[in-house]
Amino acid sequence: MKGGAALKSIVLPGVLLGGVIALAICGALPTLSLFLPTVLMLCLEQEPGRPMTRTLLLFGLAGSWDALVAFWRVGGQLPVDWMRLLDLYILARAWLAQCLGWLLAEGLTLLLVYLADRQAVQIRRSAHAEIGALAAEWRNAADDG
Amino acid sequence: MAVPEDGWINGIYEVLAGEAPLGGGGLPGFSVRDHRNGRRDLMAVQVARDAPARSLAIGTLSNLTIDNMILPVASGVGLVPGKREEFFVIQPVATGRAVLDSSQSFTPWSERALLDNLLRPAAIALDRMHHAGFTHRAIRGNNVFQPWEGAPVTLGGAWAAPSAALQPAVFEPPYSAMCHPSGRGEGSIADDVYALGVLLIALATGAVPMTGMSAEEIIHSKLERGSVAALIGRHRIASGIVDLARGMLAEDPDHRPLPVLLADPLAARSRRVAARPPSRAQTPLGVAGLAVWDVRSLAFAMQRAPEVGLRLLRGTEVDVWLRRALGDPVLASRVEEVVRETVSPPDKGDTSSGQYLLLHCITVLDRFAPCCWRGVAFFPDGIGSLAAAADGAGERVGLRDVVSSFLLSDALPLWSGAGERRADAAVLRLDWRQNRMLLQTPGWAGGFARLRYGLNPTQPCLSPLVGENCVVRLSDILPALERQAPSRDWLIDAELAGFMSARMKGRLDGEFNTLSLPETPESDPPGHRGLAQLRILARLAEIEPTRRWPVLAKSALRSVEAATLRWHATTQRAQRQEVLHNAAQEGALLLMLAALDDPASLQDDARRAQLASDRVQALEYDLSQIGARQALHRLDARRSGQEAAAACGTILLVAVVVWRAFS
Repeated sequence: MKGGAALKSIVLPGVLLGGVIALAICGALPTLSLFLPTVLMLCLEQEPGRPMTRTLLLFGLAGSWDALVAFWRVGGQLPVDWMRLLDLYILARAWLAQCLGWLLAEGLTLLLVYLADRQAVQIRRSAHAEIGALAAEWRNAADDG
Repeated sequence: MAVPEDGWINGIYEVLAGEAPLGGGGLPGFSVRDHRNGRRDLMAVQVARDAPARSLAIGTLSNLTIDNMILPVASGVGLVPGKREEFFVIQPVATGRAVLDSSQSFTPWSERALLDNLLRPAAIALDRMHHAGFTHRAIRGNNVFQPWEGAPVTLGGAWAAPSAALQPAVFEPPYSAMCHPSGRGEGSIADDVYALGVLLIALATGAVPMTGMSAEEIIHSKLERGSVAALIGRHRIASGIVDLARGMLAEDPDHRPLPVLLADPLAARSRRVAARPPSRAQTPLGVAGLAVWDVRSLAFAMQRAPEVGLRLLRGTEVDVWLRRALGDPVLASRVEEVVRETVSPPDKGDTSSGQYLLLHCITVLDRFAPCCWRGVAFFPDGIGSLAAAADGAGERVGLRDVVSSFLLSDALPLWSGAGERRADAAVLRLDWRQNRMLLQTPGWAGGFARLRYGLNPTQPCLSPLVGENCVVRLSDILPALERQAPSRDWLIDAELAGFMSARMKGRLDGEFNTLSLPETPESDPPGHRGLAQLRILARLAEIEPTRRWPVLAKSALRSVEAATLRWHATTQRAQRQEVLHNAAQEGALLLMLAALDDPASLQDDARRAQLASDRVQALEYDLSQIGARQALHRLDARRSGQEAAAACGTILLVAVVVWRAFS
């Protein structure tokens, strides 16, 4: 392996990763606390593609958008972050948004399953009715058959 | 032919019940009035049901005019006194009296009177008949009339009974006389010449020949002594008449003069017949009580006693008698050869080989002998009237077996090939093959009844279903059945089916065969037999399409109602049943058939039934698949719900970002 290539493939990602870790530590914990329901859902959900986690994440982002912008602006000062985190209004809003997301996802799912079941029942009922009518008109054919 | 309300024959001739019956040549006769012109010189001769009239002769001769002969005018069903239906032949009333009535003695006719008043007019009439292709076969003393003394005679009617059926043995050639009365066949004009010869002798001698003798004695005497000697006996008659009679009574029909020759008695008298007298044995052979002196008598004796004849043939008696007593070794060798070829061991009990042997030997012994089968003698061209006489009661059952077994065997080719026959052998064989095929045809479109009615176009139907009604034509059937008011489901039996099949010339044979099948639910589609019966009845109803048959329609309804089940559609079935019931109430057989016999509707119904069946199968498949697909649908619904929630989240996020960005 030549020197330029080694620099690009090993050293540079390592330096960048170190920088990200250094910068992220101050914001990671508050962010984690804001998105705790999403993280829990991430751990619990087994479905491929994790659709519920995505929904919770999106609602969580919408609910905690102001806090995240504020985190970004203060630039990773830990005491300030924790102070903001102690603001229960911010935390409650983020969690409430994620709860709403969960409720919406579950509700919509239940609604659509109910509609699908109802459609199947209607199809079955109309098929039975048509078979009954045909059998009444063509009893002989049914007997012969 | 439907009998009109007043019972007139063909709607024209009224049978006058109150008047004394006239002589019908041995059959009951009645006075008749022709309602077109009030003519009263006609009579109706009643036809016996088992001895049908000569329909072919009636059809042809009713359009001809022959002097000195009573020809038929018409035929049809009418009412006899007592309001019973019978079949009649209409013919002019004979004027004068019969030339020879029973056994009363009378003055012998002079030679001139015999030639001018009997022979010449009768010969001219017979010649016309000969050219028309018919025979008379009823020339006898009580059926030849003379209007007044010195007038030419008139030959009476001969159309209301089978040929020669009413002829006494003395007026018939011995070979015809030994036949069953209904089995003598049409014969040839030579047989009429023979009968005229007998009448000539009777009038010349002034007495009925061979009076007091039985038929067997007459036949035996004629065979043994020759007809001329037997008939003239010890009477003395003019030599010219004897010469004429010798020719007219020749044993070989080919040796008898034709009628055209008899019209010129001088020429006929000069004609000499070279007939060799039969050889007479030195000692007689006893056959069933008959002393036989010659081979012709031997053949006759074996015919009248078949068992004895067979025993003698299978033994040595006949052979020894032929060789030693008769001195004819050639004939003995031929008989021996036939016996050797045909004989079967007695322990096998093969009766048919015995019949063949007897038939063959009789034919060898006497080449003019008729068919002798199972003890009954007949000529094959009389098989039709013989079948008509076998109407199924008493000894006639045996006659039916005789006719059936004769047609089913190879007796006719044996008979026609062995001797010299008066009829064309090829034509006889052709008829025999056709009759045999008809007899062997299975179902009601074949069999004995079909054969009998086919051979006898004017024989009334003998089915008990028509009762006492005289059913001769197809148009007579429905009125007769309607009058009988049947309470049964099936209105056609084998006898009636045979009658109709013969009259319809096989047009509905499929329906008759369907009716003949036993009724089994497995092999019988719904109403199949009833529909076949309705088709037949409707075909008969087409003869009078506007007439209604309420009794028949109601009876037929029971058997045909199931035919509506052939429609699969319930609504169609209900509609058809309604139409059927309404038509039955009206007695409209044609409408009933139209309601059921609709192939286009049936085809459409079957097509729609198939479509419905396919649709039901498709729906049942869908139903079975709905359960399996429901889990999949639920999963899809769940995913859709989650994706919709995610979409809502995205929209909310974008809305928040945008709102924050611009606020």
